[in-house]
Amino acid sequence: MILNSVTVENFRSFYGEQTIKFSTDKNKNTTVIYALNGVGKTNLLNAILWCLHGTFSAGFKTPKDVLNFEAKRQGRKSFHVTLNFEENGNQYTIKRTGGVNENFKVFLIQNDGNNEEIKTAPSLFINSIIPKDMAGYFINDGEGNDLVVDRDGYISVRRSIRDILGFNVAEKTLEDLSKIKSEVRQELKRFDKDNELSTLEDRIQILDESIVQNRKNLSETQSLLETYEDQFNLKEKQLGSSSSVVVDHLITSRNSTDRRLKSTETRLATLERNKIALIREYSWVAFAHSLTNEALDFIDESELKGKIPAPFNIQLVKDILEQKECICGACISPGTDAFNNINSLIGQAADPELINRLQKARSRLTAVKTLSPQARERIEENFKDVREAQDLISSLKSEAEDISGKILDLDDEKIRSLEKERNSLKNKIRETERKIDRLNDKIEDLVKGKKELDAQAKRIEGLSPRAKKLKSKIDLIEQVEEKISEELQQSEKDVHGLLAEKIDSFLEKYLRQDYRVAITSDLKICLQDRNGRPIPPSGGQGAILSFIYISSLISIARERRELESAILTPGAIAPLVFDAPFSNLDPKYAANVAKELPKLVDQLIVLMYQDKGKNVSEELHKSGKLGKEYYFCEEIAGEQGDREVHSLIFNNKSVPVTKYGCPIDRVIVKEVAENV
Amino acid sequence: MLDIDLKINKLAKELVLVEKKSFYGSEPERDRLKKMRELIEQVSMELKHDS
Repeated sequence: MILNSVTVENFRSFYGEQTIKFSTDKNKNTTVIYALNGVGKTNLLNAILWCLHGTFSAGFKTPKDVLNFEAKRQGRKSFHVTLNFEENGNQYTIKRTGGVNENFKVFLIQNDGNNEEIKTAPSLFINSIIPKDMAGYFINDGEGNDLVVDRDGYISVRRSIRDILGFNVAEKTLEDLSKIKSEVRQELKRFDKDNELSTLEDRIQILDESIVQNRKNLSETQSLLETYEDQFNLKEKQLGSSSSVVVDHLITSRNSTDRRLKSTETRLATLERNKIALIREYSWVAFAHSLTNEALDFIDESELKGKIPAPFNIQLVKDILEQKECICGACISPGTDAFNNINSLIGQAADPELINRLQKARSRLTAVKTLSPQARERIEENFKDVREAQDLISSLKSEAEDISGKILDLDDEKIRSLEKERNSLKNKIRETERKIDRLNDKIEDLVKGKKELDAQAKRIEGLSPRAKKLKSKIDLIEQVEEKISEELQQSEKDVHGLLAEKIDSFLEKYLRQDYRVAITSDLKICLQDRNGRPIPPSGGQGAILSFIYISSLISIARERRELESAILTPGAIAPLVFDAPFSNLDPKYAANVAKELPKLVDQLIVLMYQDKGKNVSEELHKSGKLGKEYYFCEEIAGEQGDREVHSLIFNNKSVPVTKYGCPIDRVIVKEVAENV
Repeated sequence: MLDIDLKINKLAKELVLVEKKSFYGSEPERDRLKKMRELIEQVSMELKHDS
């Protein structure tokens, strides 16, 4: 998708019609629009987003109040945005009207210049070019709400990854399939005379619904956890930026305590896992300990020796009696003394098999006896380590509580209030983590129960043809559900590796330093130094990490454009429209990012304030990528009085961008080349 | 078996497409379940005939 132009009419600060023609030259693919803060950058970005999908960005305040104030005063009731764009060599126009008369139309511009309206599924057509879920990452308001860097330097990216992969539609399909399956089960009841299958299916249905509900709860709870973590990190950040030396000292001290607490909790978790492994390995030794001692005293195979002289055995004695002849050749007739003496030996004879078994038992019991002190030593050591870790955790928690108490005692209402909010969020995070653990356990039990019932249902015989058909339909739906779920899980797994690869490539381009990015299993990313230590998000590194991540997402979306899956939404090749991208960026990285950003996409549209010292404009000019430049001029109806006339600098010339004494308040768009 | 897998794959894709049309507002949401039921019925019949 290449944007040719946007026309806004009575949209927020834009009164009447204002048009911007973007640079469509592949070599000079960048359009920069300069504006003072609060003049209309976010309005223009939202006009584009709204025209495409009818939605606004998170940073767009009061979205119900879009009609320009002056236009409203003059009795106008609607506002309009028109976008002209190119896709696969064809030209299209989108016209969206809001206000009293809402309207959305998409046209294909034919070679003769006539417009042909796309009447079949126009919004699906737009979504096939730039899906709604992804649009916010391409048309980015720079607020960065979704990509908050936490105190440890991590960004949670699970939500945005799911948006880019297009999970929403597939998950909605799964919900609908569950509804249909439930209907089929109801129908089955009418045709299953013995009620055997439908009773089982009823139970499966209950489990199914419970699994879906619990998975939904789990997903919502995980999102809630991320939100709490974001809010918590924000509070920590606000507390950390206090100008008070005392607060600064307390926060530093708490950060150190928290780090130790975290590492001790990790150690405790490892020790607890070891404890389970040790119990598994040695529990039989522990239980057998007393028994072993008693048994070894009891078993004395030597007592059996001599009952019959070696190498004789029972079989030999039996053979002598049966053959009535001793091994010395003497005749052993029944009833003789010799016969009776030999016969009495059988009663006292030790069975060699028995001796063998006893020897084996003794050997095993001796092994238990040898292992017993070793097991005791290892288990006692583990218990001691667990106790020490628990004591340390308890002491560190109390240390952290003391610090918090000191902060709450400070004579600063703002700090006290931030600390209270922080503590409340911390409790919420703990509760939410526990809830996630409980939900995971519950889901595991439900899935196991369902599998058992499914196996029982398969064993039922003698169903009516109609009942059989309905059962097959249920099985078919379940297979489809499994297919969709597998693809969702696999794609999330695959993207983990791909994301690491992308991030590394952008890291090299933007930072040119020996940093690396770590990705956690729950899709959190973090910038680390060469020794693997997380880099705190100070000095613009947090902003650069967000930048690297957005660039990686866009690159992934681009590669997924030709995706054949059809279950997941294909990616997009769309322009990157960035509102104030450099404002939070450290000056030492800004120029480099400005140089690399146009290479990331086919078309770049940047809305920005002229930041002195960041050399963004200079870098874009130098790179030869700058195609067009515009600026917003604010016309103000009131008199200037003491107010300042703001200016921007173009080609070393100062250009005023506020004008007083105008007939109405409005923002007008001017192209730099025309005016300077 | 391969044929059944192919049919299930195809059905999954078609069902997601029906959902997509409704999700992105191109088709009325109320029609989607009816279309999904029809697709499932059709494939279920095909599989019955195959076996």
